[in-house]
Amino acid sequence: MGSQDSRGQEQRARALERRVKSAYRNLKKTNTELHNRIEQLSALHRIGLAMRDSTTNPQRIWEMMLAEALKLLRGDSGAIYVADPDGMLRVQAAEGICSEAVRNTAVPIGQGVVGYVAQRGEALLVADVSKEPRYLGLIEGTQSEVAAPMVGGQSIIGVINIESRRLDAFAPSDRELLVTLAGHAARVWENAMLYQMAQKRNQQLLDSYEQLREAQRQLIKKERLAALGEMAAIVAHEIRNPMTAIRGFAQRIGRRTTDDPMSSNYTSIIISEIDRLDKVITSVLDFGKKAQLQKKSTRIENIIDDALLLMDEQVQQRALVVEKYVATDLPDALVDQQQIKQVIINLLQNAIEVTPKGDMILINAVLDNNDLVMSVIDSGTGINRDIGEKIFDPFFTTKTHGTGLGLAMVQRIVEDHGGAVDVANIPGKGAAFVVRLPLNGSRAALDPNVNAGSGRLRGAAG
Amino acid sequence: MKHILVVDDEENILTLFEDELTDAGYRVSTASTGQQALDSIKEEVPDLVVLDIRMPDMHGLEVLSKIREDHRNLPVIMCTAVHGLKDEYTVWDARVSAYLTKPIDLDDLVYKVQEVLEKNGAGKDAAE
Repeated sequence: MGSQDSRGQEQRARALERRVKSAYRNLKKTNTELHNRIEQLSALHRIGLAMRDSTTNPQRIWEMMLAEALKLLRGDSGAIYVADPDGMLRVQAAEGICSEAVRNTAVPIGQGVVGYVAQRGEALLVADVSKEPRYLGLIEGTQSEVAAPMVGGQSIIGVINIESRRLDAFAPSDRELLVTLAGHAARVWENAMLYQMAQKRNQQLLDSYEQLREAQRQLIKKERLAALGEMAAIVAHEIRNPMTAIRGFAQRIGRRTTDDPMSSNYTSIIISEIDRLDKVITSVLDFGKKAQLQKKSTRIENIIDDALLLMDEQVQQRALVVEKYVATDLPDALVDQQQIKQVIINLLQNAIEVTPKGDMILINAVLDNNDLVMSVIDSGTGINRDIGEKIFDPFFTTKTHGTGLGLAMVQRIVEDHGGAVDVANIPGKGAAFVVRLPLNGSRAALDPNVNAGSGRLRGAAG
Repeated sequence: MKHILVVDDEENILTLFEDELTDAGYRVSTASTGQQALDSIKEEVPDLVVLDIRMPDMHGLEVLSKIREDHRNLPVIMCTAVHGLKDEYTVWDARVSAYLTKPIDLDDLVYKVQEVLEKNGAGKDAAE
């Protein structure tokens, strides 16, 4: 009875031990699986975090995803292929052994293991590549591989491929894991594409908004000019009759009072003031008129010299020094000579008026990006920041005498030529007026960073 | 003494031109509307007409075309207030002897009148 009892106890103990050992083994296995699962989950989590930021460069996300997949599946090398519109799978990211060799590879859809996976849209596990006829053998030493398609909403985006130098290195669970990762990769790609598209649309929208605003600005300006021209013509008619009478009678009085110096002085003042008034009216009329450009291929230096000759008397009177620089490589420009001369005269006129006696005016003409860039730089006190772009508005003037049309005319002529005019203050000097004209007669690249060492007025003036 | 008809709706300009041209040795008559001008010409054909282009009752060019119906070669000097108007009326150019742009210098007026009369003195229309 006693021995029977002890034998029974021993059996029970051994059975218990077996059970404990088995339970321990199970536990250990579960623990490993749990550990693997945690690893997988944390990898997916990391990928998910990276994906949340769609602005991240998709290239970087792919590299990261490939690195995670390699680690999880314990592969030796791997690559992510993306299908282009021509049906070629191009390597976007490669890691591990021989990754450099693979980096610029392209495989047609339908060819090799990767091409097959892309064509079928199903993952493929190859336990022994030597028994797989589709295997292309891009990487020497590979014995087994697993590949999963990245399936987008409509089509196959590409393939993730992991290879190992060991035979039968991947389990079906690895294949499933890769499928999950490939799903993530597909979403990354789609997000990135959507983001790029949205950004492009946004840019297009911004561009057309800018164009619309510019067109509207031009339209308002044109309408204002048209109204101005109409009004000027009416006013000219109404004013020139009384001017004729005033001037004529003054002339007649003047002839009768030659023996009275004061009277003849007064009448000659009346006549010259009427003539000044008439010049104002003429310039308003000219401004309102839509000029017909008579473009001719022209040596710019000749126009500048003509303008300088016309202004020479004023320059001499104020003992100013005018420094001219014309680049030697400047080709002829297709412009209306008279009008461009007018531009230079108007700019010089302003420069002469603000430059102190004996000081300097610079006039430059250089080539920049196929545009002719002319600048007139005075030695005045510069332009008050408050004035800004108003300086080009018709009838805007800071002078006691002046029509306020000089710079407006400059802008009109330059814009008629497809160019742009800008103004900036140059520290230690004065104001720089910069005219940019396209040499070939087409529209100039309206680059605000004009030459001649000036920035935009809005940013730099003070 | 050459006879000049001055046509302008502005009384002061008529006075001015009349006085100046009289001093220069011409016989001057005036008209302040287009119709008056045509009536005056019907009564007595002048040697030259100084015609304003902008008048309330009739445009100067309309007056001119009516004058031309009977008097193909009567010299006419047009007065305009806007420079460059010439170009728009190139078609009329052949039949306008000269242009004066307001404000008109009196010396210019006398000089143009003299010039036009001299030029037309030789080939005066036989029908007139």
